[in-house]
Amino acid sequence: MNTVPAVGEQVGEVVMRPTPLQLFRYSAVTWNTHLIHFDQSWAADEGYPGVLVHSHLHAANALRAVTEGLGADWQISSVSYRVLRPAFAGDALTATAEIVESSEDGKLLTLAIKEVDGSGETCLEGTVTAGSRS
Amino acid sequence: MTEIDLHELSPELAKYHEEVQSHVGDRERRHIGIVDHRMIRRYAVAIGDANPLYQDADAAKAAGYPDIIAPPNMLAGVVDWGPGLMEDEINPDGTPGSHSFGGLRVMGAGEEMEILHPLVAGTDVYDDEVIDSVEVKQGRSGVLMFVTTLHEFSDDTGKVLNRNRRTILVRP
Repeated sequence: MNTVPAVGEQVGEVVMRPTPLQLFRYSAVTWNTHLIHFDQSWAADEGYPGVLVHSHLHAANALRAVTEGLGADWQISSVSYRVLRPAFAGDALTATAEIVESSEDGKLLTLAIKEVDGSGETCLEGTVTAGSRS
Repeated sequence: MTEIDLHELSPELAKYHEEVQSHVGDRERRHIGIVDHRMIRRYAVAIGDANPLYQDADAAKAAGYPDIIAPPNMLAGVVDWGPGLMEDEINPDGTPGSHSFGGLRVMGAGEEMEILHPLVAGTDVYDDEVIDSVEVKQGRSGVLMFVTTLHEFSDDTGKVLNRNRRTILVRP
């Protein structure tokens, strides 16, 4: 699979539907004790409609759009993103990755990553560079 | 957003600001230890990613890696690599009591990562942490504080694997 994706091409799309179980497990595996991610009543007391998706879980979802889209022949070399809006268990978070630039030799790609919630609002946006491993 | 007068901060935010400001530039090195297969596999499951590079050593080897590798932001995503604090040292909202988050709301705002080498299972990892900057801004919904921290993850030979600059947003 040596075809280099073209500029403008959307290479990956991943939909993550975070559940309270997933957010609990992400909290557990990252040893994150912040209650807003796994305690519904605490999250409600802070004014949130549900338990919050971790910023790094938003990022993991967005990066998955890149790794799935490009495949194992490519490796992510840098990532920059901003979380613009919180999301909650029960939402559907669609992450996409689009090629915005390609080096002359086609061995370095720049991608725009974006994650939107179920109502189409942007939760995360950023930039990724990925290098060819061959 | 505009810069604001620090005297306008709430007492909780002022206390946190003072504490963090006094540590800007401090470098703290931690030995994370060996990141094993179980840790990587559990992280991959928690993010819902079934990529065989994260689970199956044969698939990783076929792709040219010495063993399974971690998803790109695993090193960044783990909040605490140590045992964690005893419960009486944790704030009511679950955040570590070592920071004066009491009464403040905290969330991740963004990050810049430079990934020099993927993390391979079995690597002995160190984390050098430096508090980069503290900024207070006036947002649409009130005063916002941004704290940026650099984490440099390296292996036991000193090879840097990953450099992260992460920003958290702290609000009254």
